[in-house]
Amino acid sequence: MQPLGQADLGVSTFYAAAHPHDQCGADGLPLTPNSIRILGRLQRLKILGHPRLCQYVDIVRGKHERVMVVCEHYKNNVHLAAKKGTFKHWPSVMQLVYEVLEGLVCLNNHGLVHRALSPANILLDTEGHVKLANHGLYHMTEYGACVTFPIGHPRYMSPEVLSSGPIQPDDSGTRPTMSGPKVDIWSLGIVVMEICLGLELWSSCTLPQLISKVLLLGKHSNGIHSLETIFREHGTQNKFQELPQSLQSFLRQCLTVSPDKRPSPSELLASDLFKDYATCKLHPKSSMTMFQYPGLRSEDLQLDKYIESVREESTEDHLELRPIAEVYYLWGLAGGDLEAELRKKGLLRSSPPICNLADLMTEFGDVMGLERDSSSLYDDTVVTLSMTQLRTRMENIDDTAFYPLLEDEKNPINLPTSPSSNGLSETANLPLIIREKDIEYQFHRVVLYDRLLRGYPYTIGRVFRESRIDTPPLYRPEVWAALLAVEGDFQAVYDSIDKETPTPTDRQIEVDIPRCHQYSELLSSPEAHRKFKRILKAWVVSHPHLSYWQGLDSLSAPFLYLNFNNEALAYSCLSAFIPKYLYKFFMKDNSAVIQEYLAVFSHLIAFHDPELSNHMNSIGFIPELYAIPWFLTMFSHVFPLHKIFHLWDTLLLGNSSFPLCIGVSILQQLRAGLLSFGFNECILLFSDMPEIDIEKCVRESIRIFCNTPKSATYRQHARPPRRSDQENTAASQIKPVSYYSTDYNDVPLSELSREPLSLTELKTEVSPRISAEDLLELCDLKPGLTPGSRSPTKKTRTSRPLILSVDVRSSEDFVRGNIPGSVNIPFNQAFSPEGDLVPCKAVTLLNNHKGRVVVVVGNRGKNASNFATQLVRLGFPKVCVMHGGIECLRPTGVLAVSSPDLV
Amino acid sequence: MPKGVEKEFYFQFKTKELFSKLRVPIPIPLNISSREFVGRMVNTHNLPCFVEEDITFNLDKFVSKETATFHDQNAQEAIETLQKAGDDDIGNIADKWAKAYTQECVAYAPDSKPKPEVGFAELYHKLIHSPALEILFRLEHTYAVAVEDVLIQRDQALTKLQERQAAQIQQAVQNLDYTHSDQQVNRLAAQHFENIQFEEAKWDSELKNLQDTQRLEFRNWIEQLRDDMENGTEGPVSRRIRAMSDLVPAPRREVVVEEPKLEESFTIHLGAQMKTMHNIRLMSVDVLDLCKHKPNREGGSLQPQPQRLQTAMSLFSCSLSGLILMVDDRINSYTGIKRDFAAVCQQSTDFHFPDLDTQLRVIQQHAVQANTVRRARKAEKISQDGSSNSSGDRRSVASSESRQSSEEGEITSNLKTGDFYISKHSNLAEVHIVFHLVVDDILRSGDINSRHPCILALRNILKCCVQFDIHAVTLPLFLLYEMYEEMTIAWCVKRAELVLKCIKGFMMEMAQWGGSESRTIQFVVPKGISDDLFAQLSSMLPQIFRLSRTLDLSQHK
Repeated sequence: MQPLGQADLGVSTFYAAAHPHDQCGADGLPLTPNSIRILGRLQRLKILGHPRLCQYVDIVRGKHERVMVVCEHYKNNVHLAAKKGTFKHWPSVMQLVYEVLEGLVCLNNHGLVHRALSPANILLDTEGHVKLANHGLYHMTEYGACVTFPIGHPRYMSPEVLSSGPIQPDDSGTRPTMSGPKVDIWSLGIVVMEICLGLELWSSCTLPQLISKVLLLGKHSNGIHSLETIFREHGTQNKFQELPQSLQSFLRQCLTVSPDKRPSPSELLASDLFKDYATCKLHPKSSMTMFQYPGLRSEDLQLDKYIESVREESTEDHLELRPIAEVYYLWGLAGGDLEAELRKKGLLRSSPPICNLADLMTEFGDVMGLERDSSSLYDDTVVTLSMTQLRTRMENIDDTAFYPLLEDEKNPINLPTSPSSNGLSETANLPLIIREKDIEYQFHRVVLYDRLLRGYPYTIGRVFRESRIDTPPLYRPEVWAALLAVEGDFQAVYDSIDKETPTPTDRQIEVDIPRCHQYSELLSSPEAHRKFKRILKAWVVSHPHLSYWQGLDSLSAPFLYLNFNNEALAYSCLSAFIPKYLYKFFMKDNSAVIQEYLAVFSHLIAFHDPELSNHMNSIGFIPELYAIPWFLTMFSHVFPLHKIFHLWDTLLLGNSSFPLCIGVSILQQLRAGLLSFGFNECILLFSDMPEIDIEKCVRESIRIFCNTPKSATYRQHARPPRRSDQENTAASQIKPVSYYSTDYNDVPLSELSREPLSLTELKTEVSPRISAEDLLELCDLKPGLTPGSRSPTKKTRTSRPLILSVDVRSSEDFVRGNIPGSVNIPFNQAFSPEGDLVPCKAVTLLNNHKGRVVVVVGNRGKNASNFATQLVRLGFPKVCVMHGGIECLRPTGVLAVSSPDLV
Repeated sequence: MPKGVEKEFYFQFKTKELFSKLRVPIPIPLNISSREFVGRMVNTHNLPCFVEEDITFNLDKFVSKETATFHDQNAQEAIETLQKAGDDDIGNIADKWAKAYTQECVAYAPDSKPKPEVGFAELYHKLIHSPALEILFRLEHTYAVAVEDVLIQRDQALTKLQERQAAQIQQAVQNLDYTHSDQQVNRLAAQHFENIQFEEAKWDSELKNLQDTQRLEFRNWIEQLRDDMENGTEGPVSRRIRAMSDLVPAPRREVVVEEPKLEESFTIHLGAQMKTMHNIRLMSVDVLDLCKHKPNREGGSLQPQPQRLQTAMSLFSCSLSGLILMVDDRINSYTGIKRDFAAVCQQSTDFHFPDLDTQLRVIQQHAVQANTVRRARKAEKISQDGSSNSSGDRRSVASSESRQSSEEGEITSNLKTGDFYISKHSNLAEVHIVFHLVVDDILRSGDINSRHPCILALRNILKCCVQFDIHAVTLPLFLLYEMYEEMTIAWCVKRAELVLKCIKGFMMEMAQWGGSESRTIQFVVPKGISDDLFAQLSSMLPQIFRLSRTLDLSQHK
């Protein structure tokens, strides 16, 4: 993305054509509104960064099919400059021509043509260099099919374009064919001709006359060259002869009627005429992305000499060096409003709706008495966005804030402490939605992330740390890719996958896509559908051992939305995401995986909310009935995109068991309702997910995660530990800065770890099991031979233990050896016939302890888990069972012999 | 012009002694990158990796060459047709272009002056959102009272006349065969009728004159008020209006005590992932009560009804409210609810839109147009059916239909079930726009389904609402405004379910039409409905719509 420089931001607006009443497409679905088609097609123009083209920045849909396009803009253009006499000298004309050609060639290389070239569309930047504008209109409107107005300026249109007549709105079945690149050469010829002759061609003609003139040039092209005709009509033969030879021959070539003989922009650019001109500098110089890093990226870096006085003198505008998209993003946060800007210039003036009402509508939708509102006509005015507000809001930001130092050890957690931003650390504590709207805060985040991402993968640890605070929406695509450790030439990988050949899953994919997040303007566009299909097909083709399950579409939606212009990156993110969080979920037979996942989920519910768990079990509302779409799509099926973004911002930081905690926290939010509902109401409730406060949900799930012993979410089908030799550079840079990022499965196993249980066993148990290691960790009994710490909790030595271990063996066994600090409640004497705990000293202790973690320890038999089940039934939260029984602790030597009077 | 062609790409390479040739058809223009296409070729033809670079380079060159040729050919064809074209054709094309430009582009369009109504509308809108609001309201009220006076006089005069005539007739009938003969009584009755008509016409014209004058005066006042308000303080014009309204005598009619109406509101969510919030209201009320404008004076000062104020302020805004009225197929205001509605419209002067009669006359003309279109379409359909189905019996059906349609004769302004016409009003209490939906008696029978023209018309109306920023719509839940004897409880529940479910479906569709704003839908049930039935209906709503989860503050710490 190019820096803003001296450019302005401009907005232009027009109406997309409305579809006739109730018309359906070939697939039987209602037609996509034209404004959405345009929105989808504009996206790729946004990445077209070339110094000779104005950068497209954004497109916004207004009410009633209005479209507003934001684009780089300059006030000066060839039309104005020619009037002022800028082009009196022929070399300057040739320079102009050369630069226009450069822009056109860039367009052609991307398969685009301008088709609306006119002096007013050739803008000149502050240094007088060419910036083509409005070059995307022809492409985004599907060559004019999406709008009612004709594209181009009659005077500059080539005969072959005019010959087929304007697009008729009624024959909407056939889409117009795209014009070739040579039409722009004709237009350029006319533009240059007018500059050279210093007059407007056919200025005295009426519009139909003018068009006929051009058409006649085409008709009589076999006889005389159109140049001669134009001279005869304007009496300018002599003036032409005064032109230098190069210009004469250039014009002669441009205004050749026959397209065969007319040169294309690239041919012209390569011709002798322009061999002495220097090509413009591209920015950035290489197409290398942040994910590829062969060699030294800072090779060309030249450091300025440090001069003490530089800071005082510097009047440099730092904002000019920021990318255009970033400036626009900040402009929006500073309260910029496109409609308001347009209205200020009188462009959105429309009469009140009540004055435009139709009179009559028949049962077939024929409308009578409808008058055309004159404000719906096409107006090509570009309104410059006012930057005053943005600049005022940024006045207080210190210059140094534009260049944050990443390696500053004094200030490791980055929140600038400059006097202007003393409120920033306070802002960091505000709700996320407010932070995302705070311009000053976002500015600091954006600048920081921009820098961090440039240092990827070296900075990945820092990216992880910053993401725990929040992720700025502007850089979310890159940040997510970084968090997923995407790297390498993913474009080449993606290119080599065959996404076009039909496969048996195509049908299902085609059925699913038009149902996936279609409220989103971007994702409902045909362009998005095409990309959707390609990404899904690419995934299916390149994962032959897995299969397409419904839900994969929802899963890919957030990635596609974020990386709309970079399918390859979207695909790489998707294929990094699935093994991390949904390992084996997409197998042909995934029932064992899902069943295990859901069993662990119900353990987790019982662990954190026994009351809810008891209620849901009593009405038979089991996770199988509602939670499969949650986990299979990582909640992307049940939430709208803006919520998924906030959810996944945190999800991506967590390990593969974090989603389970999100599930529990969703239930927590709906708790009051669920407890009062019966089975049918519960089913109804989840058939259409109710509104969830996502920030609260995220906060809650982090809390739940921290309060869950790590081994409690052990799954046999989880992803096996990665071998270090398979890791890529980015992943190896991830230091276990937090317990979030490490996965239980990634840590080497020992005899104290958990081992697989059969599914039936898993399902009959109510409480989770934890490993002996975790128990020792939690009890603060760390024998020397326990391998590395795994516990999430940072222990502070407190007088009261964090957990209570309940030994349910017989008292004889207990006396022979027990875990220090544990209490003994023999299982066979524990419960009265009514199911209550028989009061005794240990039970009192247990009751006093209610609310903290209770670990039930027994022999290898079922007693321990049955005891835990009873405790859950009695409403004890945080009950778990130690896996493997007391025997497995014997080798550790932590067991102590206690005197019976303790019990 | 062809959309694309297929060209054969040829490539050869050598591996050791083996000489391989590759021929692949390539679609031109190629809509994927050549690198990607090479990827496909490598996969399908199992090509060695060392040729990849080479083949990409060649393919790239091949594609750009062929694409250029393709475009050139297309362009050349266009030029050739041009060369063959006569001067007339060229003139034709030029005219088409010129038309396209003049009709669609501001730069080429003939200067269009904004409609004068729009200017006035904007002025009014500005004033009513300024401190002049109160003054405006006084002005409107003053005029309304004047109209009311005339109406009262008219009613009194007519009643008096009717009474006198009734007495005469009675006397005549009593003295039949003595002083009056049958003929004479008949003549008397005819004469009375004539008198009544004459009297009515007289009053009507008086009313019309009054309203015309008021309309003119109102415009003048508004223009003056603009200048008056320019400096921000109340000027002489405001004072004059204020004085004028103070002179208005206290209302002679007794203030009607408003009965408590049965009403229940719900906030609902629509949509699976992205949710939009809307309001649904169920109310048992006489639909014309929503239109009747009830000025009331309390303690001598004017108390504007809040709804009326709201209606006036949003008149020229982008948040209108509409009402669906069920009417028969004739566009007039002579009978039934049409007549009652017309009477309500007459109660005060409409300062912004033509009176109802004028609006209806325009609509009648459009109805004739619409019927012409309808007939043309039908004829076209029949001819299509006839041509596509050549089997004997089909043809006879078609021909009989076509005979039938040709028998219809002159095109009238009568509408069909499912059509609706729209009138706009500035003088009604809670409504700006009235959709007059044409219905038939079948609605009274229980068995209509979701494909019934009336239900489809509701969809069209909602679509219209999206198009014209109408954010609140009121419609009869039973599609009828009165209770009939066949409407048992079961009937009502069934009909309500049908209407609610259909409306829910249409509301979901609205998002696609471009209306994601929050809307209000009011369902009206007849006034005389029992409390039980009302409760039953209101319990249906949460089952059909998803209510938004109430925020339970007691749960929050």
